[in-house]
Amino acid sequence: METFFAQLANGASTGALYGLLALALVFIFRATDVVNFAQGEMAMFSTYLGWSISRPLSLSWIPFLGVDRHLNLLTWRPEVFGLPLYLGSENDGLTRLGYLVVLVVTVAIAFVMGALIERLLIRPSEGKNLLNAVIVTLGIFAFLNSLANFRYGPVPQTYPAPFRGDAVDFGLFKMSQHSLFALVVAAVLMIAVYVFFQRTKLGLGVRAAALNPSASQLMGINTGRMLTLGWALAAAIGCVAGMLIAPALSGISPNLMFGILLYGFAAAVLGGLDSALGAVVGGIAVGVGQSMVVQYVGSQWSDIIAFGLIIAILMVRPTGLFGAPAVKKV
Amino acid sequence: MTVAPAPALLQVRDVTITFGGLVALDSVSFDVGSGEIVGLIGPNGAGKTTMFNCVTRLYRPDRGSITFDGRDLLRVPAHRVAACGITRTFQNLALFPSLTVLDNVLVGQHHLLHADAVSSSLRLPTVVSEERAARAEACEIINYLDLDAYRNTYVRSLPYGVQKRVETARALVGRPRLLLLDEPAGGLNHEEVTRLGEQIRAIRDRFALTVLLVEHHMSLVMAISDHVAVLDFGRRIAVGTPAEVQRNPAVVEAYLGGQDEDGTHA
Amino acid sequence: MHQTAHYRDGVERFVPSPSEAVLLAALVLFCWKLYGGTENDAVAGLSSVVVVVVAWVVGVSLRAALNDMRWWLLLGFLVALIVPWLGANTFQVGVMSQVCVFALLIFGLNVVTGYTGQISLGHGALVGISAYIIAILSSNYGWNVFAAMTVGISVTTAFGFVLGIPALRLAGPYLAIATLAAALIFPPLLKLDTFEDYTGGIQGLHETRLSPPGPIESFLKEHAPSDAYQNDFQRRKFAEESYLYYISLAAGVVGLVTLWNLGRSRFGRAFVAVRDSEVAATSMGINVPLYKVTAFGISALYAGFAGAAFFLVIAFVAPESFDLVNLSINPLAYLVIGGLATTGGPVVGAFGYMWVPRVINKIATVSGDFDKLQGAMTGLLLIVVMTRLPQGVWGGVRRVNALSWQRLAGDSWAWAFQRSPLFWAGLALAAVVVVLIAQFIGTVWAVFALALLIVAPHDVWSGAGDVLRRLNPGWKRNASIQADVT
Repeated sequence: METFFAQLANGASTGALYGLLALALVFIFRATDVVNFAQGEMAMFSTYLGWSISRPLSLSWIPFLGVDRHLNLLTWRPEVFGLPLYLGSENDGLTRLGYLVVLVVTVAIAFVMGALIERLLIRPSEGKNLLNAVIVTLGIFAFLNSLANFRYGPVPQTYPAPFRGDAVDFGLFKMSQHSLFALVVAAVLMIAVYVFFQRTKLGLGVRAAALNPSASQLMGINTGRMLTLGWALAAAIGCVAGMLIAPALSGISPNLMFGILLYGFAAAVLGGLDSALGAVVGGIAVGVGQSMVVQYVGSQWSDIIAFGLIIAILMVRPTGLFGAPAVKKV
Repeated sequence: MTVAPAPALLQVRDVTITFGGLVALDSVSFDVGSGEIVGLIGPNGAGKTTMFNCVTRLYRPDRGSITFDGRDLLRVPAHRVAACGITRTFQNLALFPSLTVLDNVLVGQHHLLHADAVSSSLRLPTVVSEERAARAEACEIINYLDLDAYRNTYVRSLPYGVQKRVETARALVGRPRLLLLDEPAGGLNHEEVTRLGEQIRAIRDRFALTVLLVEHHMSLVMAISDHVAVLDFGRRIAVGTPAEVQRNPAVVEAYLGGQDEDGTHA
Repeated sequence: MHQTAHYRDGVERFVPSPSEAVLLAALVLFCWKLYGGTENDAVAGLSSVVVVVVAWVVGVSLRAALNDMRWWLLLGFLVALIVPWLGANTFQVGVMSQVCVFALLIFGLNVVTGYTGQISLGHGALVGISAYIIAILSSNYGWNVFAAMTVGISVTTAFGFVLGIPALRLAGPYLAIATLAAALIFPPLLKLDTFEDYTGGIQGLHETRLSPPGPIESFLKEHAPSDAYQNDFQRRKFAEESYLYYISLAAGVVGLVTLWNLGRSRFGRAFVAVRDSEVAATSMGINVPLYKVTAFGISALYAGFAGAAFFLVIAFVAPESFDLVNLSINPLAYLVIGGLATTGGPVVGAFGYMWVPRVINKIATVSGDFDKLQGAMTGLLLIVVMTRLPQGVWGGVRRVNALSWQRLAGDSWAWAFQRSPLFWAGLALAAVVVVLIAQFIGTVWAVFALALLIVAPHDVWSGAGDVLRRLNPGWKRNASIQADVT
C-alpha cells in the first residue's frame, strides 16, 4: 500500500509538469488554433538559457567593478543592513532567492522569445492553411533542437533544484520537496490561467481573437497583439515547466523534452485542447496512470497503455473530457 | 389545401423540430405539386432554411413526415437525397472553393457516376467514357448559365453573383426533379432579380423541374410562384396562390406586425 | 485534375516559361558535365546546344499538344530511367530507390491529408505493419516474398480502414493526436517480450536482399558505367542496387499514375468536396463518412506498398525504423512542402525527404560550422518554404509557370518602384549586416539572419521603419508599403 501511495504522489507531481506543458499547448491552441510541436523544444531551450545564466556570470564588462568580478545568481546572498534578503540556504550555497531570480529572468526571456516566434515565424504562415502553421512549428522544433545540441552539447547538464531538503512525510507516503513544489506551482499557474481567461479583459480579448478574428478586430481588439500575447504566455508557462522538469529528471539535455511533450499532448487531448482545467487534470491523470503502469504492469507497457487510452477516450468523447463539444453549423 | 388533384410531388406533413427547447418548426404542412414553382416565405428566423434542411435530411425532424414522389424521405439518408431527385443551393454559398467551376459542377453529378475506386485509379475506358459524358453534360449546363468564361477558374476567386450561378449549375447537373433554391436573389440588384425570375421559370420549363424557393424578395416570389407557403415563428400561417396570400390578414400581420425592418421586404 | 486550370493557354507558346527555363539551364549544365566539361570544349559546347535545342523543341511541342504539365512528368520519368547511370555510386542509387519508397507513402498521405483534409500522423505505423508482416512471413515462416507482400498489403489496407474510424468522430487536431497515438503505440508493441519471438525485439529482423535474375544481372553488370564501378564486386553491387531501384521505380510510377487518375476522377472530386464543405458534399450525394474511411483505406494501400518496397530495398526492419519523426511527421511535412492535393507535389516532397538532409550533410562537411546544425538548416528550410510558398513548391512552380515573362518582368518592376527609398536602404543595411555576421560570427549565423529576413512579414520591417520614422519625423511615410501588408 505504501508503494501505491508513493507512486500516486510521484505520478501526480510528474503529471503536474505534463499538465503545465499541456497548459502551454492549450494556450497556443486557444489563441491561434495551432497544435504547437515546438512547445517542448521552446521549453527546453529557455531552460538551457536559465541554466546558462545560473552559471557564474562574468561582470568584467561593467566599469568600476574590478576586472574579475563574477556573479553567481544561484548563490547570491544580498544583505540589507546585515539582514539576509535570501530565504534559507542549502548545503552547497544555493539560495532560493537566487533560484527565484533565475526563474523570473528566464521566464521573461521565454516570454519575449515566444512573442518573437509568433511575430516573425508563425504570423506569415497564418490564415493560409492550418497545416502550414503546424509545419512551421515542426521547423522551429528541428531548429531549436539542433541549436541546443550545437550550443550546449548532447550531454545532460545537471540542474539544481530549489527545494532539496528531506522528503516531506505525509503519513501514508513521502514526497520529495521538489515534487511538492512542482505540484504547488502547477496549481498556482492553473488558477492564474483560469483567472486570466475567465476574469480579465485581456483574457477575454485573447479568447475572442482566437474564436473570431475578424469580428474581434471590428470590436476594436488588436487581434495580432492578442495572438502574440498568447504565444508569449505559452512560452513562459512552458519555460516554468522546463525549469521544474530539469531538476526532477536530474538534468537537461536537448532531446529531453520531446518525450515529455508527447505526454503533454496526451494530457492536453485528454482534458480537451480548449480547456485549461482539463490540461492540468489530464496531465495529472497521465502522470499517475504512467507511474501506476510502470509499477504494476511493466515499463514497456507505459506508452502503449497511455496512448491507447487516449484513442479510447477520444472515441468516446471527441473533444476530450473537458473540451467544449464541437458545434456543427449548416 | 386541395388544389392539386394528383398526389403532390413533395408532401410535408406536421413537421416539427426543436433545437434545445426552441421550436424551429411547429407542425408545418404543405405540398409542392409536380411542375410548380412554390415559394416559401416568412420573416427572418421563421424556419425556412430549417425546412430545407429537413427536406434534404441534414436535420432530422422530431415529428411529422416528408414524402417525395410516394417515398418516405425520412427513411432516406442525407447522401441519398440527391439520388432521389432533390438537389439544392445554399443561402450562404456552400461551394468547394479549392475546386474549379467545372469540378464543382461535376461534383453535382457524383451520384450519377458509378465508377469504382479501382477502375478510376486505372482510368479504364469505361471510366473515361463516363467522365467524358459527365463533362459534356456539365459543360452544357455551364454554357446554359453563362459560366463558360469561368470554367477553369477556382471558385474562391469568383464574385458572389457568379458563385451563386455556379451553385445553381451544380444543383441542376444532378438531374433533379425537385430543385430547392435558398435565397437565389440574395445580393443581386433590381434588374438582376427580374432576370433571375425569368431564368428560374426558363430553367423549370427546360429541365422539367419542380422548384421550391426560399426568398426574401417578395416581388420575385409573387411574380414567379404558382403557390406560396408562409412561415412565421416556425408555424405555417398561410398557403395559397400569391394573390390569396397577399390578401391574407395573418401574413400582413406577420410582415407588418413584425415592425419596420421585416416590413420593408414586402 | 487542377493542372489545366492555371496553365496559360497558348500564350507565347514557343517561349519557355520561367520554370521551364530553369529546367533547360539545368539540362545545359548536365550536358556539359556529361561530355566531360573542359576537355573537349568545342564538341561539348556544340552538342550541348544541339541537345538543348532538341529538348526545347520536343518539350514545347509536347506542351503545345497536351497543353498541360504532363510533359514535365514524362521528362521526369525519362530522367528517372537513367538514374543508375547518373549516380556516382551505389549509395546514391539506393537513396533514389528510397525516394520511390517514400513517394508511395507520401502519395498515400496526399490522398488522406491533401485531398480529404484529414491530418494523419499515424502512417508510419501502417508502413511498419506492412513491412513487419512481410518480414515475419518471409523470414520466420519461409514464405515467398511476393505472397507475403500480398498478405502484408491487404492487412495494412484493413488497418487503414480501422485507422479511419476515428476520423468519423474526430476533427482537426484531435484526429491528428489520435493518429499520432497510433504511431506511438506501434514501436513499443514490437519491443514487447510477448512478441519478441516473431518481431525480433529491439534487434529487428534482417533479410537477404532480393538479387536480380541472371540475365538482368549480367545485362546490368555489362552496362555499368566503367569509371565508377571498376571491379566485378562493384559491378555486382551496381546490378543489385539498380534492380531494386527499377522495382521501386515501377511501384512509384504506378503509384503516381493511379494517384493522378484518382485525383481527377469522381473520387478525387468527392475527397476535395468532403474537405471543403461536408454539408454541401452530403447534399450532392456524397456519403461523407464512407469517403473519409475510404480515403484512409486507399491511403493505407499506398502505405502498404511503401512498406513492401521498404522491405525490399532496405531488407531490414526494426522498431526504430518506424519512429514518429522519421516515418510519420517528416513525410507529412515534406508533403506540405511539396504541395498538398497535387500530383507533382508528393514527388517533390519525396525528393526533398530523402535529399535535403543529405545535401545539407554534404554542405556540412564543407563548412565546419554547419556540422552540428543540420537539423537547424532543415528546420529553417521548412519555415522558409511554408511562409513564402504556402501552396508548397509545386504550387509555387505552377504559379510561376502561369505567369508570362512579360508579366513577371512588369510585376517585379512595379514592385521595385513601389518600395520607398527607405525600404531599399533598410534592405541594403540588412545585407551589410548579414555579410558582417558571415565575416565575424560565422556563415551559419548569416544564413539564419538571411532566413529571418526572408521569412518575417513585411509589417515587421515597416514597423521597424515606423520606429525609425518616429525618431526622425522628417521622413515621409510611403503608402504602398501599407498596401503590401494586407
